[in-house]
Amino acid sequence: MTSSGQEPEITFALASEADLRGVAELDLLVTGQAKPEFWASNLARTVTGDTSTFIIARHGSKIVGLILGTIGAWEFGSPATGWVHAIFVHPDFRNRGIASELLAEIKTFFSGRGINTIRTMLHVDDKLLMSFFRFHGLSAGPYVELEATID
Amino acid sequence: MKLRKATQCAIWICVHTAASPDELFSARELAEIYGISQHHLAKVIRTLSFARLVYSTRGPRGGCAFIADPKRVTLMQIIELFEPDLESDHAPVPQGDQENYIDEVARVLGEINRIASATLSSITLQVIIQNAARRRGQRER
Repeated sequence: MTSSGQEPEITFALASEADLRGVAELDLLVTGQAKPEFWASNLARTVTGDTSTFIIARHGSKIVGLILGTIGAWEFGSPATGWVHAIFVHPDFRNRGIASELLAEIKTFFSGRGINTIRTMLHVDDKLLMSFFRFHGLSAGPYVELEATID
Repeated sequence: MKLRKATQCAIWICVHTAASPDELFSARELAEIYGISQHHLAKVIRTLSFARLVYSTRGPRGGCAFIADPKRVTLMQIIELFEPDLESDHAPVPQGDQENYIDEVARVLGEINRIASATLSSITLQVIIQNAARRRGQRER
């Protein structure tokens, strides 16, 4: 609640160093793994170049959502594409359109840099996230993920 | 992936009626649109009705209407009503050296089943309706 007693709005902004702790806490809550080095190195990439973005959603001072993305070109033989590497929303703040707004923000970032394809990868069992991306018009692309254990 | 005609019909009926939830569609109208016999359509609608996805009434003013929440009904849920053994493993019992080959074939087919199942379980009727409208809008531009 704000000092006037009103529920704070959800605001969206580029992530900064001051947000890293809140990001790691959100990551721990949603994924079970905090990964502070991952978030710090990705934040650094957004500062030094123009091909990455890291946007957070706040409810008052609390970080309740984030999206991380990068423009990649010619990896896997694909022309320049906007990759969404991570998108989370705090479980208590879901179904409020936060993830949709985060996705809209990153699409604006990508299209502003001449990118017209957005791509992501997710675990085959993550039905919630798969439903979310499908709801926003993403469908299976022409690439397949393959993997093996190195003996 | 090849689904039975009844399963495809069920998906079409659910999407069609869910896209206009306040409308009652006659069996004849639906049968004509999707090129199926009214007899087969009646069987499909009966199964969908038992699953509480549609409501149907008989008679001259009768018809079929969607009564579930299209945001919560997935393609997999509809498919499972008509093809409960979709992911069954029909592999023979391995004997001797055949065991490795049968296991490897089963592993590859399992990969495909897993992806198909995940995809069908993530696509709701609302997603189909919305994306069809989006593509129609893109074509018209």
